Amino acid sequence: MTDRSATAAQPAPTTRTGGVRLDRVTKRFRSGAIGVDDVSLAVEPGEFVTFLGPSGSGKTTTLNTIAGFAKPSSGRIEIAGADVTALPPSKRNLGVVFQNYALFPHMTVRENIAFGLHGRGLSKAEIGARIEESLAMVRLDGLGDRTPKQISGGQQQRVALARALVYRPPVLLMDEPLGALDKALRDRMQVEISRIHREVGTTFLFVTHDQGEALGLSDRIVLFDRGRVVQVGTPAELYERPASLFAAEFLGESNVFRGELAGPGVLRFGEQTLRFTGDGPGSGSAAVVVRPERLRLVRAADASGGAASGVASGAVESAARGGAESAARGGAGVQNRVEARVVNIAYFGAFRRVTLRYADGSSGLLHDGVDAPAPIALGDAVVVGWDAEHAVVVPAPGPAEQAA
Amino acid sequence: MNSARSRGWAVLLLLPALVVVLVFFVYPVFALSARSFLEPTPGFGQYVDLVTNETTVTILVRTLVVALLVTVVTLALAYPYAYLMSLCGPGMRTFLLFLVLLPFWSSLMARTFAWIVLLQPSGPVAGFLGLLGLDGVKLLGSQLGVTIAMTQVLLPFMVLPLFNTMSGIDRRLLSAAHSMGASRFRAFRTVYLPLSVPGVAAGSVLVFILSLGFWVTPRLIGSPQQSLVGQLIETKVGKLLDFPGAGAISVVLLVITVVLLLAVGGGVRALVPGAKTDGGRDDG
Repeated sequence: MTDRSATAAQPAPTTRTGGVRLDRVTKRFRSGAIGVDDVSLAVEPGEFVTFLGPSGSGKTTTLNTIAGFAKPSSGRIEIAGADVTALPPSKRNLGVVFQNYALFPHMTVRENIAFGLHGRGLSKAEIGARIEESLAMVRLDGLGDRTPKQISGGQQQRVALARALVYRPPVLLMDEPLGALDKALRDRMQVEISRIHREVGTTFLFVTHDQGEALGLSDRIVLFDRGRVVQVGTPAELYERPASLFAAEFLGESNVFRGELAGPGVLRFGEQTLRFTGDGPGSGSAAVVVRPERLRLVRAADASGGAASGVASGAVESAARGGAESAARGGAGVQNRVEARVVNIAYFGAFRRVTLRYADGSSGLLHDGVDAPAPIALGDAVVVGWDAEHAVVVPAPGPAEQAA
Repeated sequence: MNSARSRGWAVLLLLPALVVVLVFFVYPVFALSARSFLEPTPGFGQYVDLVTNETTVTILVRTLVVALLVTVVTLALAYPYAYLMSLCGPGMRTFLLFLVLLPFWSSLMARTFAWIVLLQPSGPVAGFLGLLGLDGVKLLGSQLGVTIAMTQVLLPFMVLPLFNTMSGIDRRLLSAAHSMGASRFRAFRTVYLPLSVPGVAAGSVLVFILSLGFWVTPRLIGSPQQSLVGQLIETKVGKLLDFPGAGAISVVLLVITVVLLLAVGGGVRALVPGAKTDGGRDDG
């Protein structure tokens, strides 16, 4: 994950275009519901920024206020240094790629791309050259005379991109552009969008609810929840140092250990003490978050933990393997250990996805290497562990507040 | 159940309607048309009479002009109405639809008699025109009165196909046009208007064809001196018992209708590639 985002974060654009600034933007709907709640944001020129969040979190509404399709109730929006808050969409000089592409069905691909070049003082020859250039950019040479209905969904997506970029807007907005494509095509288009972003150097604002897209494409991710921006950071920052339980659970998978803080770097989880590094809330209820790939199988628990005796030999082998592995990974063994029961094992090819149930009833995940000599079995009682540096602590409502 | 068998059942479902159409529509039209070619002597005699008879030609031309006028006026009234319907919320839309369909709740006869009252020299329409300085306009027994009444009667047939097409136009296409710098006017002219053409065509053809065959309204509101084709056919059949002559006029109307349908269909397909005349919805 981190490697991929690092690659995406090295754009080599020829020229960098305008940035976007949101200053305390709020959007209240006529129904009284708040779509965007006091959002401030600065997007650097040429940056690829993703608005990520569940549906109804305000990410699309925020994009719409930038595009001019929705008028903010209060706040200020700047594009390339100019205040555009009061401008209609047609005067904002933005490129917009819509969720279902919104290609004009009565026009050919070429006419669709030419639409935005109209009225920009370009000569006919220039317009023709620009169209061919953008067709080549999205690798659709030769399809200019087709209508949108005569090309595939992936090709329509490319036309939508070409159409929005052909007049060289400083900022390109994309609203869930890959949502309508199948998985394989989506992965290919992600690569394409990254390439195009590097080539044109335009600022890209990309809305998605798909964490994979957000992690793989963005320079920075803006995480939305209930109309508010809850965290802004690089994909690695968001994944490795989530600032809230919401961020941890929305982006990637987590093991969440809820408990009470008991001093700096210490959380009481039931009878146990869990250690973590880095900053966190000073006191009160909190949760330690550990990613599945950071969690390690330390050993099988004693049979007295409730495991069926029939699995004892397997459990011993797992324990041996777990010990060897932790030694191989960095010597001294893990600082935190928690008992758990294996409730599900799913084979994923590169690893086994083991679902665990902890003593407090919460469930978690562990990625178990498939080359393990004796993989753990369903129902096993095990001990899992992790290093303090791989745990993040976030504020979390305590058990009492949970029940309420 | 295999598909061949289910298709057999489907044909069975069609049968009652098919029988009705064959017995009460196709056969009479065919018989009347046949008589126009066979009586009194086989050949095109009836058609030669038709085009050489000045009165018949005048009436045909007058009918075409009235039909065209009614079509243009209903289109001008219905386009903004249907546009509003496609824009507003579901509650308002139901209300507007209700208003359009309201005339269907009363019989054509009742509405036509109502128009006789409204169009009287001392009636409200004349009064309104008087306010605009148009005193003494003859409404009853004139082409103007007939056009006004026919426009009202035929308005739903224009609104409904237009609304059907417009509600299928993706509003995001307009947002897309705006985002690319198009003004409201340009977005409407280059995106919305072309995409609404199938509805315009469907509504226009429907209203035009219905206008051609209109009989009750011109009969009651118009004057015999300015009769339309429907009245001419009625006179030939009812008073002169000239069935071959009436058949010849009917065939001419039928040919005009068919030619029009083909021309408009072809025109729409040429203008809007991939457009369907049923309203342009695409779920694909």
